[in-house]
Amino acid sequence: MKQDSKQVTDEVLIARFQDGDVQAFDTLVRRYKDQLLNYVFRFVGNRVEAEDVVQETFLRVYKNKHYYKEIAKFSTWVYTIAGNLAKTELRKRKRRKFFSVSNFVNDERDYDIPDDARTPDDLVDGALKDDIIQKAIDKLPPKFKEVIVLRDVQGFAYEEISQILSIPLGTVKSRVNRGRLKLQEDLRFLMEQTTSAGDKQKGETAIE
Amino acid sequence: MSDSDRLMEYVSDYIEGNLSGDIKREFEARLQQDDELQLVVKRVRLLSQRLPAMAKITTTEAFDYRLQESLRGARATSSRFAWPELQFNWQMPAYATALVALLGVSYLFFDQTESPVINGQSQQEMNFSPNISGQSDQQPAQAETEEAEALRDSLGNEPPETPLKKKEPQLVNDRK
Repeated sequence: MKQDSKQVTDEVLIARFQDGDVQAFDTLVRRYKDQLLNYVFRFVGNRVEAEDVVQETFLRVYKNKHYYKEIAKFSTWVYTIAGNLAKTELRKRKRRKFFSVSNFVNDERDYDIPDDARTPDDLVDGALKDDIIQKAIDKLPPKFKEVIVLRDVQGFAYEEISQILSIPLGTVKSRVNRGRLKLQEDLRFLMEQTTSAGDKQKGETAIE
Repeated sequence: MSDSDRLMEYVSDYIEGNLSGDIKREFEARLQQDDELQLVVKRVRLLSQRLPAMAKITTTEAFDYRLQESLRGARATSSRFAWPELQFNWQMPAYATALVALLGVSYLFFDQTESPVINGQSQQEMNFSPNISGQSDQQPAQAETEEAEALRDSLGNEPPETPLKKKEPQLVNDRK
């Protein structure tokens, strides 16, 4: 059955599920739960919220299975649902932050990552830590963050990102480029440390 | 916008190998002269290689259990509250309309045979003809009695034996 579930495409599985085969839906859940959680976590930056979003995504797929049409890939459809829910979660967080008590206290400030931080904790074996990169991703505007995560973290093609986000291909490429430029700007001092360390060891740019 | 800023738009295309032709030549020429552009290209290339290597977040058993419970609840809800599919049937309203119309016509039809009631008296009881109505008959009789009394008083004698009557037309048999 494992071999059978690997060979069967997502589109066939969702069609079976639409006909009432619940096990087909379970197979789809197993295929997508990890990658969806990774995508949403990198997007919202919080594991608990990310799990809630992914749970809700599968519930919506279950309840609205008949809304899927074969004109698009199943991955496009499920990532669209997850992305929209993730954006909603970010908006809610923004509203919660707006009404938080700390906003009324002048002494308190949101902690911001200093651009020239050069602590040893930011690097592991000369490479940037994941959480440092994640913090930099979190600082990106949502429209850059979503394309960076889909392109560079999840590895989607530009065309599929264009379908998931319902934006033109040129816009996707432009936002990916601008998101990368913004990220490298935020991390430049740390990245200079990694490159200089790599140059000393090997005489070339270190890539971890 | 400076040339350097304009060429920044092509950094991703360059590192992904999507630049070609004149724009690629221009970019590479600029790259050799511009230190800042070189650093940016280097850092963006590093990032595009580092980001995919970030640790993948995976689900836990607790997550799987919670998801199963949610889906079980969704399944139970969908089977419990299975609303019957109501199919709109044009025949039902048509039958209802026809029935109401029939009742209305029947009411009007049967109701026409009864006479209307006015002042507690049906039309059959009320008579406007002076020969049949008791009330109208009484008035002329009273008039005659009053006339007879008036005549008696004026004459001072006994009332005449026979009341005053209109002369009735002769019937056919009398002529014979």
